Amino acid sequence: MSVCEFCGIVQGEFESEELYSDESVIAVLHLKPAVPGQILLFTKEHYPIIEQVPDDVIGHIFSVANKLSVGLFESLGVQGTNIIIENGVAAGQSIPHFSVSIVPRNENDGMNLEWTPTKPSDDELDIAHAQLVEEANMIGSDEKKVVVEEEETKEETPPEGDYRMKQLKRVP
Amino acid sequence: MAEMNEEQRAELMEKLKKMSPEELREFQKKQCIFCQIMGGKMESKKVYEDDLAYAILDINPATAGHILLMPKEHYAIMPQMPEEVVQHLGKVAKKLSLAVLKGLKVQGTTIFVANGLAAGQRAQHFMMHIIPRSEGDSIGLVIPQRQVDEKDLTAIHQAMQEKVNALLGVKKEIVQVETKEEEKSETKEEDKGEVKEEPVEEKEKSLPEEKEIPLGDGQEDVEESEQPEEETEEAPPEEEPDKKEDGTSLDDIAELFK
Repeated sequence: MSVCEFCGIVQGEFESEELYSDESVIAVLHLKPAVPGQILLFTKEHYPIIEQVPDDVIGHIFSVANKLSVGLFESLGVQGTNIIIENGVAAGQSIPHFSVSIVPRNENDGMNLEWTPTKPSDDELDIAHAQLVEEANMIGSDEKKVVVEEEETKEETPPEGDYRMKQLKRVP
Repeated sequence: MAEMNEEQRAELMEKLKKMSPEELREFQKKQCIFCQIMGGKMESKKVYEDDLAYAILDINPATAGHILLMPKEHYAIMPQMPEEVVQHLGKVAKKLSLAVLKGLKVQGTTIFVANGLAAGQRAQHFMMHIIPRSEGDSIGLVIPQRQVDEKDLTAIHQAMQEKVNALLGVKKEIVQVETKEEEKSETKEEDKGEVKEEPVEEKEKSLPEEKEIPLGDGQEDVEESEQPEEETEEAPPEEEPDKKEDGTSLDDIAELFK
């Protein structure tokens, strides 16, 4: 038996209303939805939080989420959708397996998914801004490293090619 | 804008009706505060920018550090966005979420999208909210749970399935195209043929299988044959090294579940 509820669904141990499945993600209907038709979309692989999910899977799961949201518009005729990721216990995540909730919405559906602004002071905002900019500047640095490595390996091979080219040119 | 009289409004409506989709988008862009921010015409606290995406701090934040992540191009809602932009924003959201956890030393993030007024969308420019979360921050934002009759659930499932198949069955191939473009497009065509045949035989009994057929390629056939046990081998966490690279804070957050 799987310890994780979502892994249990992936492995067929728990029954579910499955809507979609491919090699990396699965979408089921929420059994206790805020609004009927609420979808739970999650990775087949077990990752507790979004930061641990590989980039290609993240890209894929967002495009699947977008299409499922379109599916709600078109099949149920809803007026809106929310796509929500609760990342960490502090954000209300109750199952330690990364998931995306897609919630169909209608005017007057009686749901309140809004937040109450905490009105931080200007100083607090400036500090948060500085801290975020410093971390956000790191975004993409991993990819850049990879690119540099690739370039280096490329540089190693071309001399061989050039050498042959020169030879070819000399032959006639 | 707000101080228009009847005549001006009628004139504007007439003008809007005559516009081509391109002209309309250009018009919306001119009216959009966020397009003006990205064009440098209004001030903002920028957090991140690349070719496709732009992130700023919300001026009326749920908590300090509340980020708005937007496509640079003007789109009102997510369904209008090209696939590559959707994917890119998702990846940037993940990284900004990491920046929030590390930079602000909070225990969680809420990533929130509203499509449409009914979903609480306020701005005309599509955006993802990345909200820093701490235990007991009492900002609300709880997805309620309600008991639903099993029959209702099945009925709504059936109502949705066909559309979901149509949307994901074909387009999903495009997602995967990057690496094996030719192969995939070939299998896609073959699979379309299968779709028409199979559902006829076991229409209602095999709903869960039916929906997978349009996506199927060789690999997925294995999964469809009702042997999900095979996926247990996915359990070993290959992502261990990533966790370490991301720093200890992630493990701490992941461990909070225990």
